[in-house]
Amino acid sequence: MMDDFGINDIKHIFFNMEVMDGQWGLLFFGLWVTIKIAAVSIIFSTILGLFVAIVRIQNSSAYNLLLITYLEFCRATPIVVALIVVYFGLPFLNITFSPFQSAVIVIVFVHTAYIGEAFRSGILAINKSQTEAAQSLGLNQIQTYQYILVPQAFRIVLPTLANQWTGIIKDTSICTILAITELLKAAQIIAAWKANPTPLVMSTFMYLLILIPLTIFTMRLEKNVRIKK
Amino acid sequence: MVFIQVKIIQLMCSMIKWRNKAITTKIYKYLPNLSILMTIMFFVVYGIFFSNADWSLFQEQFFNFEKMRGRYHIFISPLILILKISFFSCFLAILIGLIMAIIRSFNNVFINGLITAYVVLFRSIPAMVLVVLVYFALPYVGLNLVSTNSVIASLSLLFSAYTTEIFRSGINSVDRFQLEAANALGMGSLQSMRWVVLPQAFRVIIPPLTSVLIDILKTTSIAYVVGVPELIARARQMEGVIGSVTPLIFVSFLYFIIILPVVLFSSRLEKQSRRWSKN
Repeated sequence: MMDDFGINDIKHIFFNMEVMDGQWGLLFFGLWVTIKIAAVSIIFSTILGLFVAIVRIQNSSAYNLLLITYLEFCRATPIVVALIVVYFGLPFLNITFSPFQSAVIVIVFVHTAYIGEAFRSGILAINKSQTEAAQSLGLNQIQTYQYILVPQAFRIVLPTLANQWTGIIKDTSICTILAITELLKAAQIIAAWKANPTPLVMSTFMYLLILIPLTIFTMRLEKNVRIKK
Repeated sequence: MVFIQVKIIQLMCSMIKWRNKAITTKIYKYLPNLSILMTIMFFVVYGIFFSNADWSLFQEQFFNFEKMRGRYHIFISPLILILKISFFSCFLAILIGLIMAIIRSFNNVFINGLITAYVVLFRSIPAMVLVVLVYFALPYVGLNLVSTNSVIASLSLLFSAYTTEIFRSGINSVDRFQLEAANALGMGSLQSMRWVVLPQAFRVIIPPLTSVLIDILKTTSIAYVVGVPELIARARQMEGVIGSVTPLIFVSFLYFIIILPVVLFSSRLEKQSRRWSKN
């Protein structure tokens, strides 16, 4: 099967730059859409996750019950299913989201739960005397969070947070199932048109170009945390 | 929300000059519960009486189980298929991860570099991209995989990176003196791995392994893209036939039922292991 292929054939099939002539525009447009989805989702889910964490730390049983249910729901629901329900299901109720909106909504909804949990553990890891000291200095609750707890929690949480951000960027590729021309979809369109897998390989390289530095950064951070302990 | 409601109550208390501290603290204690109850009540009342949402339409489109009657058996074979895919990819991922971690523990610099590169590569490639690449690009070089097999191959490649890391941290967590003691007893490196290190490492390994299992179960749903006849594909077909979204809701419910026990089990395990590590 494989043995009648030489190195030149593989180069001709997977790295055929003639196929890509004039197609880079569409591929870079896809990359831009991917980056847009990822950036918006990262910003929103980080901010919302912080709020979820702060609400959970208040230790009110009703809010906790609600948010734990939400967390378990998010942990047990595949993103594909959620995307399909939001994008193909909700229009039956006359609620229509554009593909971009539904992608962002679903990704933010799912990842907020994880990021909230990360922030909660980060804030809980800070010594309690810090809060007391802040209160004795006369800071109110919001000021305590703003100046004392959140900056420190951010440093503790950074490895987990970077991991989640990587996850968000990866999950943008799932949005191919919607009618949105993000990187993978653009590559698939070109590959189907030219009957050659080079665009798929190129799009993979683009993903890796973004994600490998992030992964290495995350792994290094994790190692640092382990050593400090 | 909590802050705003607390502020409002504070304002009210100060306005009526309420000095009774016991009652005030009691109100403070139950305030969040009360406020969330009120918020939910507000949304329910608003949704039922004041918004112009059409709830009969909602019921008809989303929970129309009359149309589903007699069609449930269609979901049995995709359910089994999904469980099969996740079982095989989990098995392969654990196998590859275990082998790589053991090889890595021999501390050969060159091979360790290769394994690290493998881990970084597969930790950073999105699952969707890999599945599409394996299914749509490999046939050009004559490597035709059935769609199910391509999903199994890519999932086991992806998650073997995670399991490698997990097994490695598990092996590292075992004290080095144990290895030396095993050597002193005359065990070879593989023997000491099998009888001394791995049994102890499993306590550390099991909780993160269950979360990998959850991830695999969730990621099987992207098999939809390469045309595996799994739950979502069947649901979308049926959605076209009966003209209602109920199959999709039913399928998400099915996923939920499959994954939720694993999720609860894994969070309990995590709590347990945290307790162990404290002691």
